[in-house]
Amino acid sequence: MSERLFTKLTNAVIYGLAGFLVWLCAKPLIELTILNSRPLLIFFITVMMLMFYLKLPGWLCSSVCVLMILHAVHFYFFYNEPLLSFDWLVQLSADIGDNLSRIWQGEMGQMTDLFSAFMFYILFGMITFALRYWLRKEQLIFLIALAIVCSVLIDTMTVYHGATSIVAMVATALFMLSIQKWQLFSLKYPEGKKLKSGLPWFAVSGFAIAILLIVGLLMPKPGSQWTAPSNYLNGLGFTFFQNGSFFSGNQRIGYDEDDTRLGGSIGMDQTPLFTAAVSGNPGYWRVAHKDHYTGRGWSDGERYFLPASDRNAFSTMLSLYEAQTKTINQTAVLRFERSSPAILPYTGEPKWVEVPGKRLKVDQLTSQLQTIDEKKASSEILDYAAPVYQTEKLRQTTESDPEEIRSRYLQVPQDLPDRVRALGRRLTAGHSNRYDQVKAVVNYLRSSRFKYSTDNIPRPSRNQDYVDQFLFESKVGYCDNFSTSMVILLRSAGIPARWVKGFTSGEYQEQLQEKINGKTVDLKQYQITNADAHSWGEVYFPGSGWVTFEPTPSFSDPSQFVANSSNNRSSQSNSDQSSGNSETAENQQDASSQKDSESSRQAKDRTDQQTESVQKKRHSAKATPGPGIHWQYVGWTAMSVLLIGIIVAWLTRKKWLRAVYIRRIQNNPLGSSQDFQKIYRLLLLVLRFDGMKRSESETLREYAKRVGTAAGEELFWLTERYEQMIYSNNHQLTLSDSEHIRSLLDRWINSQRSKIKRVKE
Amino acid sequence: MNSSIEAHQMISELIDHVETVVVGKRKIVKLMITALVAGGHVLIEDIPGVGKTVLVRAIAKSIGADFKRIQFTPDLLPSDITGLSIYNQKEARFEFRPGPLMGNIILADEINRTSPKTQSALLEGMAEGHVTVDGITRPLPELFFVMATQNPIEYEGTYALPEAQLDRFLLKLSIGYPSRRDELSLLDRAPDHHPLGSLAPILGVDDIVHMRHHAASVYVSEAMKNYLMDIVQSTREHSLITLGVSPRGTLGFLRAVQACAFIEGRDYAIPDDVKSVAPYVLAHRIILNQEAVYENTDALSVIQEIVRTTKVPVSLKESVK
Repeated sequence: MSERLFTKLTNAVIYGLAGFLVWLCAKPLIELTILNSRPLLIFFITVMMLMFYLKLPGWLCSSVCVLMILHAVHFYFFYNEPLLSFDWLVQLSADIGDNLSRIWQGEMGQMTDLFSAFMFYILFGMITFALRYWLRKEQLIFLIALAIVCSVLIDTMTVYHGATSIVAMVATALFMLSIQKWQLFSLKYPEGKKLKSGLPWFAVSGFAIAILLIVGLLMPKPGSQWTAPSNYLNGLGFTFFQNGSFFSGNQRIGYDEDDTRLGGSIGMDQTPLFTAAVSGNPGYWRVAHKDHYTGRGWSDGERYFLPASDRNAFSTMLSLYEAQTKTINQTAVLRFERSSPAILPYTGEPKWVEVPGKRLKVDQLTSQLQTIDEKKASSEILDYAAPVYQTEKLRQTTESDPEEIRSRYLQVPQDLPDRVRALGRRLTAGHSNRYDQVKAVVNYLRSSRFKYSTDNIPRPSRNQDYVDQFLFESKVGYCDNFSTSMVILLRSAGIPARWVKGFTSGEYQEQLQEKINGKTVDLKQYQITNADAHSWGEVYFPGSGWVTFEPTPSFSDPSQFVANSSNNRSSQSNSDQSSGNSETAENQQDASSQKDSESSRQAKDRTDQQTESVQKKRHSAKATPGPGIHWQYVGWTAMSVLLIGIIVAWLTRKKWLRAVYIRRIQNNPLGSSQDFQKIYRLLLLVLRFDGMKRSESETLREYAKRVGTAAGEELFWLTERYEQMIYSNNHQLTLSDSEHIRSLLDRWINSQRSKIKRVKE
Repeated sequence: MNSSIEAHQMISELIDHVETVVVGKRKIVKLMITALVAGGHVLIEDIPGVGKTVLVRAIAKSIGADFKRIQFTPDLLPSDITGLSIYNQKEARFEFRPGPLMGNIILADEINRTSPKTQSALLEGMAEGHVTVDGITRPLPELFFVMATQNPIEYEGTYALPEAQLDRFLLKLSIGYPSRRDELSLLDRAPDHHPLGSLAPILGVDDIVHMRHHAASVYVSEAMKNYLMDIVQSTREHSLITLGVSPRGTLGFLRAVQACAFIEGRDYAIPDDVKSVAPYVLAHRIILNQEAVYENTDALSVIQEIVRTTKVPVSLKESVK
């Protein structure tokens, strides 16, 4: 095999292994982030590595890299649009501009997923270019260090469990290094040091790697000694890291305009958004409802705003309730924090909304209230009608839905899996009236079949329906999962329903008095943070209007239902309005302050029990000694003795190696000039251990002169003899010469020994 | 003169001998003799009055050689130095009257003050070992050693020697001021008696010619040649150098190293020989670029830096790259 071919082949293996390392590093991203396409990532890494291996010029590599990044962005975010259209590129650049200005304003947490993904891919591309540099310079150790640091960080900071991939990584890295060294020894070293065959090399290195891995796996691995560092980071203000929906793979709980792609985990973000002071009991704060379900989320239709300038306009455009729902007029004052988005939440049915200095408009499709200029408001004064639903009336509803409602609120996607439809129909089948049907679905969702959790929520894959995935596969989720499922199940059963997003009523702060329109009103103030963002469902009842239902366990329904009822909902609804009010208020506080629901507490108990039982098992295993354990002890003892021995030998190498070398100088035969050359080099090594190192550009004579008598005056004479050996064309060593040299060496050794004694004394 | 040890003794004596006249410049004297033994010529760039002429005359007298001095002036013609044919009326034929170039040791004073035409007549003699007058080529003596001096180039009224001609000098030296003690001893000398007058020859011209043959056969190992080449190569790749050392420079370098080893009484060259002659052989053969000007460095220190950073061969195996 020619040297050229050999180099190419070994390089191919090295580049391939490097690519594999990158893959091992990047693999967690598939599980953790929204960039969840395995083939795409493999494709990206393969193409980059191939280009680097072929040593294509930098400009070509980087432009291909940019193209691939754009393709990936298209693949994840603009898959509805043709790849070659410019529309999505324009959108992308607009988004980048937006986000850059947000970063400029220091709002790191507000970056969109698109931007995060884009930045991430750019970063990834840049890292591969660092790789290219290291591969070219043959500095593989940097590459390996980066890979290991990356995966350890991912393992520590996120929920990803990286133990196996770290083992694979170390094995790959060691193998890669051994191939690189083999290549070096086979090609670049001068004739004498070259390796003739790779077999012994790989036998030794494979053995070494295997031992390392076995030792590594045998090592005891204590559990984590500290709590997840992300908590500290959070406390230090690294909110971006934790709350950026992209990097931790989590979405924030928080108000977000975009509901077209739901799913994935979410993190808690306690950024305060606004305070609400209400005269009555606080309800859920609604921002908008959405009607069109795509199978992945709730789509935004065309926005169609109408200005709302008088009382009449509000009551027609934001109308929710019909004749049979009783209402109580209430007042609320909202004050927005700096970090709040440009929203105007409201509760109940607004009669009059006043934002100082701004005129308002209402989106006809989502009932979203906004200022005309869509800028953030500082405060909002709200007169609204709080509903009191009549359960009996709801039960007795027999009228059919108006056509307009039916056409808008019974929509489900064409490709909604049949099992979802069937479940919707089955759940409602046994009940004669709409109210009980709805309650059946709500109770089904609130049952222990489903678990409320904000982390470790898998994302639906590309072809999976969001509701289907939750109902039949993951069964773990948060409000979006529950509310969307409720709406879709009801729609499947022919009941008009819609999805509403907004905020829960927040945390109680204080009692205060405020003057509104000349009247002093007693208000209770609540603090609403990003973590209070929520979604729920609404069902249409002819004659009563839209009725709110809460399908998410651990959240309590803010709506007031009056009438006796036989289901478990009755504990929360109450016929006595005043006592019922206080109870619901309490419930809400409870729900918002500690989200630990009973179900999650149960889950916790269960895991505690499990760990306990595991510990018990371990205990029993230790108590009864098996035959394998002795061997283990022997192995461990041998291993640790060996390790300590190696460390001690390494630390004291100067002393004992020096002694060994001096002994060799003394005892080596001095028959030929080669012998003398060897001895002289040993002598230089001994001097080096004594801290007298010759620099590479120093001639022997200069060296001998520099170290002077410290190295013994014999050195100068020996150096002259050595020079004669290597620089002249007469390498012969006559008998008298060697006798002379031997006597010089003996004197030198004596002087060195006495020197050591002097040092010791 | 059979062994190199013997040569070493002779040369030590020679140096001591010259040193009785030129005080405190042993290193320069040694380098001059290195050039003499290597068969090369020397260029001294220095201010007037530091003893250039005395040095050369002392060497010339010590080896019993014919010494000539040419003072270069702007109006000097080539024939003024090579000699010319004059019509002898008595014998009715042209007779060649040899010029000052036809000697063993020539001191060419202030060589950069004369016109390029005259400079090149001198340099032809240095390079070819003969001169051409009236179409007849006349050989120069076997021992022909030129020591040229030049004023620092910045001075007025000078014709700078081109690179190609600088290349013909084996060594370029600078004598420099004597130390305070040496200068004091100069002052103590009797004013009416110059030691140069009483300097007796201790070697013959033939001895020097012999030495040249011996020096040329000094052994330079493969490793040493590679070491030499490493240094030369570095001058061609150095970031501050526009023009590196030419192959003629490399050959001269080798001759100088051999002569240096010979003078030290060895019949093989060691790295120390290379290190001791490298600055004087190489510095005048390179041209620095603008960057070096900004860094306020000169050719000598660049060469010294190269020598300081080149790896020295210290074993037999490192011979071939």
